[in-house]
Amino acid sequence: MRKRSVPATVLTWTLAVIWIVPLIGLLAASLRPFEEIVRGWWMIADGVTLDLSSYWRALTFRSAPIYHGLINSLIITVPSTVIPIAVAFLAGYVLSRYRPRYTTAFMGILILFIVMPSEALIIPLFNTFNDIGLGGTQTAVVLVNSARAVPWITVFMLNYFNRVPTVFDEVAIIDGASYGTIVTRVMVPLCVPALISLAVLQFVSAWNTFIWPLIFLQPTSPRNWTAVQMVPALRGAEVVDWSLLSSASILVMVIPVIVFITLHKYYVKGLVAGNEPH
Amino acid sequence: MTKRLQYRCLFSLLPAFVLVGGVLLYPALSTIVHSFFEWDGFTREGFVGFENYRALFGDRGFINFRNLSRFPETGPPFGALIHSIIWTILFVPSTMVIGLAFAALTRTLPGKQIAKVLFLLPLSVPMVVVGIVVYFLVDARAGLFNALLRTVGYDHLVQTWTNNPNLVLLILIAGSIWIFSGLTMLIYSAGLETIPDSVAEAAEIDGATRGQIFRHITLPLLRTSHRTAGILMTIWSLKVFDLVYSATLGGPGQSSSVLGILLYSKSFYQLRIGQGLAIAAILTLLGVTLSVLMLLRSHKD
Repeated sequence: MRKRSVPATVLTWTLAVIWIVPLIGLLAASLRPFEEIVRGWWMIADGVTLDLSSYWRALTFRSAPIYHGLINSLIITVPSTVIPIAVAFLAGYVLSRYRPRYTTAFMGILILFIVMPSEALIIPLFNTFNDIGLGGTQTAVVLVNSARAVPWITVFMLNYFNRVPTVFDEVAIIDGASYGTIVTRVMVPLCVPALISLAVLQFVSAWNTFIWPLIFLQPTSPRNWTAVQMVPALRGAEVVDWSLLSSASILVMVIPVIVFITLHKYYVKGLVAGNEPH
Repeated sequence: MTKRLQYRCLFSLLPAFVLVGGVLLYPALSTIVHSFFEWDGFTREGFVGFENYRALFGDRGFINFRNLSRFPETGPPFGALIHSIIWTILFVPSTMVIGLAFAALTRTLPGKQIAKVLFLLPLSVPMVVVGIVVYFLVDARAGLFNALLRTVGYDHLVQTWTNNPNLVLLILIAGSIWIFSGLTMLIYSAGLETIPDSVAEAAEIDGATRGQIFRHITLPLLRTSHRTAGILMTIWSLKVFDLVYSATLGGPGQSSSVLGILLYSKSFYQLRIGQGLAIAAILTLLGVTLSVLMLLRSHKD
């Protein structure tokens, strides 16, 4: 391997640190009083005051209580992660092992929805969910989050199963295992790393989703909103309360960021495998 | 295949069929079909052919021929369609170049895992928060960007840059490049791993310079990475919504409005459902056509 120059190393690390300066600024602003933020969150010469009161204000803010938002986000995000992975796991397995006649057609539809911007579906989905009595419910958000994830997770699992030798299935069949046993007792344990990758990616993505809660939950009470959805509501039209807004932003992003940092190996693996050319 | 196996397949695929068919395929077909109908609020009236599309192209919020024809004397707004196209044209190559640079720089970096986590971190932040961060960076009083301007003596330029109709779009595009360069870095890192060092070493022995190796060997060998990055970034640039919504709501005066924002405001503020559906159909057509074109092109290579 070629030797690495010192300037290149220094440059890269400087860039990496600069890359997260905006986020450090947000965190610093959330911890300091408003007067110090408008003087500059990076200023330390005139003294630094730690002020956490804006966090409390954000959590309990009347028109957008982030505390409720965080609970709602969890209630929506957990099923939005479990449902599509379970559904696509089964679909990917069957498509990989049995290749039914309609496989190509179904794959075509899946790929179509991977490349199609799902925002384009807001009007019919809003109408349909209203018609069937799910308008304004968190169930609607869960269903859309799940459906949007099924295409890419199915393709991901299909490729994954294609690399799992069929010997595992054959041995299990000889041992007299039923179809259900093969899927749950043989395939699931074989796919644990892939399943963790998918769960991390889908959790972060579902938590961060904005347009679907906006479409379905905005007309209802803010107590039903997701955490992410509340952030724009806290942004004043003219004067911006940077203490409140930065604290709310930190509260909203802390869970996906912690999930990402602690499980980044799985996150990265999932992203790379998911975007591999087929 | 036996009957029993066929039923097993169908049964296992049923949940996927229901979700994809009911929540994606049916609404997608409905969008396209119903974009040719007249709408009164959320009630469908008669068939009108391309009337909604015609109305859209006569709407300055969608495409502003007047400002476009007087460019560069007149600045934005140029209309959401043009803003989205500008977004794609600037965003896709920028994220690809920066991502490739990061991938090359971090390849043999001491502590490269941590550096990569730093570059990727913005990707896990909700896009709504990214909009707030961008706004915060360029705020007149609290923004770091303006403080830097003051330090280098450009005090007269200090302003809240997201209120500047000529520059707001570019600032939001820069924010989106900040987020997504981490993802393209990952794609290119994976691509670089597949190229063995021996290829470059052999070329070096043959007398090739580093620039030549990069241009004639590394870049062509990365073509699947180019394809993946190009398609992903194109799709994303077309559907951008959250970032603009939280940073500017498309303002000031529609200067940063994009297709996603116009689709939302047409549908849920102006209640012009027919035009909303037409925008959605155009968005779908753009996303699918561009992706297919890129797939075909890279297959031909």
